[in-house]
Amino acid sequence: MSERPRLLIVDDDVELCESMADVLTDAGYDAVTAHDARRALRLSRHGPPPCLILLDLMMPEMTGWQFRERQLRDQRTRDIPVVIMTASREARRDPTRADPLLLKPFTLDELLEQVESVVDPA
Amino acid sequence: MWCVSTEQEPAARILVVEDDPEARATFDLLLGTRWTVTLAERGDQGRDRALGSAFDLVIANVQMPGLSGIELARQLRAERATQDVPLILMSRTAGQRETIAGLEAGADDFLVKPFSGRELLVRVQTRLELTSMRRRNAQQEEALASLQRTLHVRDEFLSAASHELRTPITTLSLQTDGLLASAESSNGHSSPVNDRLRRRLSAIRRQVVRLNQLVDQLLDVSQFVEGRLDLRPEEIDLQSLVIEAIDLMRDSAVSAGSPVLFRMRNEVVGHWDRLRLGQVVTNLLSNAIKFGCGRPIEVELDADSAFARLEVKDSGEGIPTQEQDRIFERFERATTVRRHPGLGLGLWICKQIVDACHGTITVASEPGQGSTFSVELPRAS
Repeated sequence: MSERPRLLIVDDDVELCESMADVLTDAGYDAVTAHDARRALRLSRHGPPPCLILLDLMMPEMTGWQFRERQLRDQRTRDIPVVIMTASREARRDPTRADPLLLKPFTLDELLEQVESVVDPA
Repeated sequence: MWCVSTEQEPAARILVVEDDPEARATFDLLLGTRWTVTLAERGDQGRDRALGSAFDLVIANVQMPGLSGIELARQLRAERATQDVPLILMSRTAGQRETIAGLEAGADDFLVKPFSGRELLVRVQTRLELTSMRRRNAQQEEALASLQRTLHVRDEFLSAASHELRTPITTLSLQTDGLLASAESSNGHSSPVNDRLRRRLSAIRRQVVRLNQLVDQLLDVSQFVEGRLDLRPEEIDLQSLVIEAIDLMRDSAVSAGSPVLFRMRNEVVGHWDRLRLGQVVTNLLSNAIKFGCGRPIEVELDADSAFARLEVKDSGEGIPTQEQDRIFERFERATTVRRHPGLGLGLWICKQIVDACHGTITVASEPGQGSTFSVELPRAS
């Protein structure tokens, strides 16, 4: 049996993180969660690197964009693709941000479509 | 007849600062019949009275022993409590220098003695009316600013609330989808328990979609009211957009017993905002399902070189003629909330979007026969 691809879910909403982990685990992924950006940085730098990071933008202390800047500066993490999760409709208007967007609320199909476009499940 | 004081407004209060006792008595006589007059015989006394109580007008003589009228004007203007009080100075000399000095010190008007009682009354009357008008304007501006602040706070709240609601809706949506997927894959066969579970989960799913639509509507209100409707036109095929909307509403249409029939006369490609136009079609369909009394709904698409036309027709309860004008207004509906719940925003949102696309939206309806909503859009809006 092939190893499950690891996904890192970063959102300060614990319930959402766990729900995403539930459905992504069911879909054949190894889903790891971080409820703040600092922990997400630690998880992506040390231990098995995730194939994809699902990143919320609005988080206290360190925002998703601040996480993204640090991630891109670090050789160990800069190549990990990121999907942005946001409830803000303004985000789709920012042409400087090239990361794919998942607009909240998203459905399971929309989530799987975004994830599978980067990494297939085991 | 001119009259500042009305029955509702108390008589204006005038302070007269005049060192000449005869002149003071004349002022009292002339002005006292219409307004409430307070007298002061020296400049410093006048200043203290003006600072001690609110006046609508101060009239002061320039030439007085001690504190002159011009110095009094300067001192009143320097104090916060009296900086805006209207002030008329009067002088025996008509010299330009004195007039300029008085106006520079902050006087609003200058009267040269001797003046007639009539002239005094007209000047006082005019000054009081101006003051009253300014005061009303300031009150209206303050009321307007306060209203705008309230609206801004409301819109900020709506925006923040909608934003906050999206995260729990995502959680609900994912968990429901996940459970539905498990129910469908478990055993792979139909059983009464599985069927019931699926039906109940599907009901939750529909309510999650509805909840999200309501949140979208709340957010739209604040955006549209603030004029922040930012369209992103792209080339779209209206046929596929309408079919997607019909697919999205299929479950609701089936539950209501209203089949949706789609007819297209010409291929319709144009430049529009996909999301917003999808919203127009969905809202119209949702209304047709809601008010269609379980009868078929017809959707028709047509176009010529300049315009695309969409018609959504139901054969339901229809809209009384007197209601037809106001159904495109915000929070309006041609029915009661009890009979058909909702925020009363759907058609208003449609109209905002269609207006922003430089199109038109109209309704033709007859009670008991149904309604036809027609949208006409320029193809390159």
